[in-house]
Amino acid sequence: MLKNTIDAIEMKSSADVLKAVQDAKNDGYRYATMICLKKDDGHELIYVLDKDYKLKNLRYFVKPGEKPKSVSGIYLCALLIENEYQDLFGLTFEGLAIDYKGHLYLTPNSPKTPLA
Amino acid sequence: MTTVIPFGPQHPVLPEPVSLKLELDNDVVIGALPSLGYVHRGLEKFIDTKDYNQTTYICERICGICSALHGITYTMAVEKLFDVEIPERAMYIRVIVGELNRVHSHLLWLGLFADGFGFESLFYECWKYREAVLDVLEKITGNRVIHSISKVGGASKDLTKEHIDLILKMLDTVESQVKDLEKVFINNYTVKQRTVGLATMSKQLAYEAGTVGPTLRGSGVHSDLREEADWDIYKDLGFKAVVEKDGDCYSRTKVRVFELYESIKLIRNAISKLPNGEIATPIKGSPTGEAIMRTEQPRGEVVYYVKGNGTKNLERLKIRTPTFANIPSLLLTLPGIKLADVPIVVLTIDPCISCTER
Amino acid sequence: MTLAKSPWIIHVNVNSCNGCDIEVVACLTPLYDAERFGVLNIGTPKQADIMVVTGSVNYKNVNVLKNLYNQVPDPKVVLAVGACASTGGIFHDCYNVIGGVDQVIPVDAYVPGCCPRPEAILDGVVAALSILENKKKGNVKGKEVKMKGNEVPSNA
Repeated sequence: MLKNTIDAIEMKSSADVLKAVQDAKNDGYRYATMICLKKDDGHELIYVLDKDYKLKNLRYFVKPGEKPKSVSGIYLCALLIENEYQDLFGLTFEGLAIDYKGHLYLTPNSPKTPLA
Repeated sequence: MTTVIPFGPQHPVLPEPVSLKLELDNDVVIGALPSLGYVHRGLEKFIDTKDYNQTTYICERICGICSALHGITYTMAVEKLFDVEIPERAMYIRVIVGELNRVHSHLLWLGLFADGFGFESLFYECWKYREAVLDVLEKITGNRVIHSISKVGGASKDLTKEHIDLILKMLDTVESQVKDLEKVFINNYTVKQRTVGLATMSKQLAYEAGTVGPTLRGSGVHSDLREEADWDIYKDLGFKAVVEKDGDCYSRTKVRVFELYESIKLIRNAISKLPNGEIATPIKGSPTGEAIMRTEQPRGEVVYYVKGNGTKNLERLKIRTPTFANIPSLLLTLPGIKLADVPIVVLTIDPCISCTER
Repeated sequence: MTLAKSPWIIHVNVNSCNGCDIEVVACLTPLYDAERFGVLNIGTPKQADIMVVTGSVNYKNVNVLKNLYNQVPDPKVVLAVGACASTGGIFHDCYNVIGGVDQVIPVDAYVPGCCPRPEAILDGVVAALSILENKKKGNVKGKEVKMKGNEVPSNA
């Protein structure tokens, strides 16, 4: 176990994430960013939300092959970071506001999913 | 009838390659789609081959304008993993160099902005004043652009008496020059004609669009990470965030002009309180755990996420840069703008594309 | 009538971190004042004589660079400014970086440094002037670099 980790609320399903993000928006949180990590064949997403300099983190484990739901319907600004992870980790987000289909940064002949 | 006009990647007002596909109805933009990737290098992968000390120098080369603050934020994030107290003098040196960096960055932006609407003499004036700041930074750190002032555990170079005298002397001249610039940027007919009432973002829109830094503060939201607890020495220095409420291009410009005075005040106060002592603590071992570190860069909040697994190399490094957060706001502000005003609106978020794409 | 008395430059940023870019622009501002050599920064490649390139080449901007190079009229000189433009620099083994500018288009002069000082860039421009003049005398034409769609140069 890592000794100093960031405080984060564990999420069970992608629908829970959407609900928690919507609640946070109603509470006046601002979407800061999302962090993606490799973990046990799948990926771990950490949603980082900010209000009055305090962070609220949501941790969600994406099983291999699962398609997480996009939060860009709630916070439009989430679309860039979600498209970035489609490029770099090969994830697929469902319901993206603008979908670059894995070509936000990369062209057809660049290395595929370099961070995965 | 709608036409699609590509803006960039090579464009006279953009020093950097970014492409916007503008959908136009006659002369008015009705939709904008950014296309990124012209500066994507893939720095987050570098941690596989470089250890955590070497990564400092990679992070400084994310961007050549706010390089000092990238290095400082990265080292502070790694220090969180080690859970070490670093000497106070090192923190003060970081603040001084970081704020000098902000002064040069804002002067640079004001110049580019003036160039954006064709005010060339003002552009030259801003960049002439900026050279004095760069000269001092070069004296202190050894390079005009990449400063490398921060290392894991403290500061890499100390400030001598001679350096401090140079900084104070430079600040006096720059402050009076900024006063001259302020008169032009705040009162000049041309500047006002091109910026007042243009691309107005309401307080709520700016907040929900996730904008940061002067773009957010220009819309009346009180948010500056220099007030946050991680940087508690800013409180001792009497820092006050600059907020303008109108939310148009003019008010974003005003935020940056007034922040110049704030930075100058901070440097003066930091110098007067500069404690004596060591500038670095030795660091042993390898980083473990995860940490998020945020600081206020010239363009806004930067988020560093680091994760160590007990080896010399970090397991994950994620950087969310300010322009990355500000670009989505363009999707919301550009519709309804005349094509001729697009360069000005794009410039007011102070785009730094090499930060965005890393 | 000599071309070297008033060369017009086009500044192309391909994959630069902004450091070299800003130094190139700083060359044109009052302290360093490249305009005393007749140098004028121009936005369009069709009017340029010298192409100043900063930054390394990646997979997305490689065709932008080729396209701009082909549009600069003969005689033309390419000046690679900074470590990244010369060799790929600190980023040479990043996954999305092909390498220095000379992997894609012919380069006539290099300015080393990370970042090079404005004085060094001015020296580079002055060195480029004599190359430009020689190319004009010898009627040297720049080869047209083929656009290969999305393909990567074979030596990358």
